[in-house]
Amino acid sequence: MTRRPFRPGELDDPRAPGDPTIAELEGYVTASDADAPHGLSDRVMAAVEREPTPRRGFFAWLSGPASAGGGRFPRVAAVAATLVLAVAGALFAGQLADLARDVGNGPSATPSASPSPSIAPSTTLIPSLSEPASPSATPETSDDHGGSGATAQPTPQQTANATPPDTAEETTTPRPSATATASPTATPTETP
Amino acid sequence: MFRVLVEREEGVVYRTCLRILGRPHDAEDVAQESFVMAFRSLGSYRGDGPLGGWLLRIATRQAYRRLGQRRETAELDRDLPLGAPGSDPLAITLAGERQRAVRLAVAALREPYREVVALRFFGEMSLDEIAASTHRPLNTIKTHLRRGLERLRPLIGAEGVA
Repeated sequence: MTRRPFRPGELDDPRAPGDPTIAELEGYVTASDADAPHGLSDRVMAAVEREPTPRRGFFAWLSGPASAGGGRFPRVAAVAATLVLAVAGALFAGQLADLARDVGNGPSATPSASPSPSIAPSTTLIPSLSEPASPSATPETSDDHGGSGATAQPTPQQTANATPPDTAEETTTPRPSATATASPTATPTETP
Repeated sequence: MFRVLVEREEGVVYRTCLRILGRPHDAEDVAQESFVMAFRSLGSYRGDGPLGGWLLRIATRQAYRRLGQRRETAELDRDLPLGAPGSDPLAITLAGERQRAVRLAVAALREPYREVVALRFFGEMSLDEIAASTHRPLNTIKTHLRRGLERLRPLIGAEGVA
């Protein structure tokens, strides 16, 4: 006789009471009825005392045995995925913040940089303008007039014609545009 | 405190393991493992079902895991029949074969039928207790048990066990 025999109405199935499968299972259960071996609880408690104190909450859920529900690998994988997502999110947020800072500093950076180019053109423009003007003037003048008058002619033409546009562009535009436009346009117009 | 639980539940846990495994030494071993495992995961016990049922579920899973490992290695020794079938060697052999057939038939069931059949018959839990422990509706448990018994019918019973 089992400790909890199968009742006829347990499954709401009229065939259940005479079911040979249930009878076989109950026969097996009756034959295998046994008490726990002597000293089992002492051995269990000795094993339990070697264990660390059980934890509650997240760490208990994480380190709990797989048979307690859920499975250990999916739990660890879920935590690892969460950590990876958190780190990736933090990195992305940091990069986004840097980008926003750069965009925010964009207009204010050019005014702060503009004073230094405005000082630089005054020193660099004068040599750069004088250098391309003198080579372009000397070959053309040497072809027309010979070697002696070549050195004398360019200087008045240059000082007369080239200085107004150079000084005008110098004051209005910054250095790169001044050097690029001044030297090519000045020399062709001078020679004829 | 935990000793109270062990002393109260050691009998049913040991018997369940014995009925699944068929060997007293393995049953004692798995019962001890199950108590230690339950102690470790006490924090994950939600308290919404009977503590004995929760413990028995752990023991059932552990016992079937052990049974799977035993099959994977080798089955060198035959299981002796449980109980006292008498002194006739033929009766002892037949009883051993019959018990083994029942054990293997239940073990061959798929989940969730195996768990429900094992908890109901080997663990001697009521269907209400199984429903509360597994957090499933009572009607679902009844369906699982009915289907489990249907799958066992060709394997054990009048025509199944010779």
